[in-house]
Amino acid sequence: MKVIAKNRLMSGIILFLSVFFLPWWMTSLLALATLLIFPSPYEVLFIGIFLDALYVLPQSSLAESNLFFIISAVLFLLSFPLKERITLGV
Amino acid sequence: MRLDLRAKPKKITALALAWRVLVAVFIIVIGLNFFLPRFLPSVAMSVAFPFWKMRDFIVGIFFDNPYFKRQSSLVEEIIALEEENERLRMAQLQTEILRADNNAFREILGRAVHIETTLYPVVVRPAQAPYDVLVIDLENTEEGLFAGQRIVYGNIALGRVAEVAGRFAKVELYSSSGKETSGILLPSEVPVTLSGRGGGNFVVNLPRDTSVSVGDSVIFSEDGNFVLAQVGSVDESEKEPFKTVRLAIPKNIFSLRFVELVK
Repeated sequence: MKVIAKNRLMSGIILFLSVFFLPWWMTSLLALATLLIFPSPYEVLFIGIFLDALYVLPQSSLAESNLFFIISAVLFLLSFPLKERITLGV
Repeated sequence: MRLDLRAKPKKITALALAWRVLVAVFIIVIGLNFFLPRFLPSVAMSVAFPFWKMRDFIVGIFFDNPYFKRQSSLVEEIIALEEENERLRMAQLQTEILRADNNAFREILGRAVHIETTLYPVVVRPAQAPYDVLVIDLENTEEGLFAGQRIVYGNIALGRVAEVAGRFAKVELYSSSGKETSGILLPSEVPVTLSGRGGGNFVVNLPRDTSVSVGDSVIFSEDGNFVLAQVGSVDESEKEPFKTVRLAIPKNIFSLRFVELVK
């Protein structure tokens, strides 16, 4: 397995485990780092959906109940042009 | 029209592909939330269950184990606990006297109270969850829980059951951001509507001439046996007709290990 793929897999696992082990804002910081480091970071979308599903309350509005997904989707799209301008990741 | 078989298929850029995937995921998620609103939370809870158990196991081994504590810190802790125990014993005596008086008054008024509660362990606290939400474990419970049931800690009103998903229940705290809860400010007995600010905090604007000071309590208007919050600070200015009162739940919600469900 290539080093990049290995790193990506490891970071994905750490990001996923952080949902259960770390406060939500630390998960958000890890997701932000993933967005900036890796190309096409689809795992961040998954984490956004998962956080919403795990903690959202039933009486919330549609926007409230998909807040993390919406934020992660916007940042996910913004990360593409941003990464063309900065050289941070692998 | 001539077909050029040598022409290479058009390459999709990473951004274009991302857009397509995102639109597809968006439609699926919104569709599921609209048509099957409980599907994603139930799946998420089922996935989370083994990880939460693993976390509690690891925390139990390393942090709750006295073997890993230094002797000096244990001695300090024992001294602090003994002092606290003494203070609490005194406070309990006072509380017992007041409770007896209170019950006597209630009996005279024909409003005798007997509150039955059940203890549940807390799995997720607000520090971990993004919203002011507690997740409680319903393991070993035979009673049916339903949304709207009150959750308390001792004589502190914390919130209500918002949803039961499998073996877990989500509790929305009264201090959730934007949530409004009615209470009565003591000792002035002024009815107030507390506005949740998250993290166990509330805020309320009161007329400047209302008597309120740090340490005053707000009791739950639905059930006066429970405290909602205590006044932490009062901001007032001579130019303003209102004063801003900041309150907090008199218990650290970030370290809650158990809560009680009022039957």
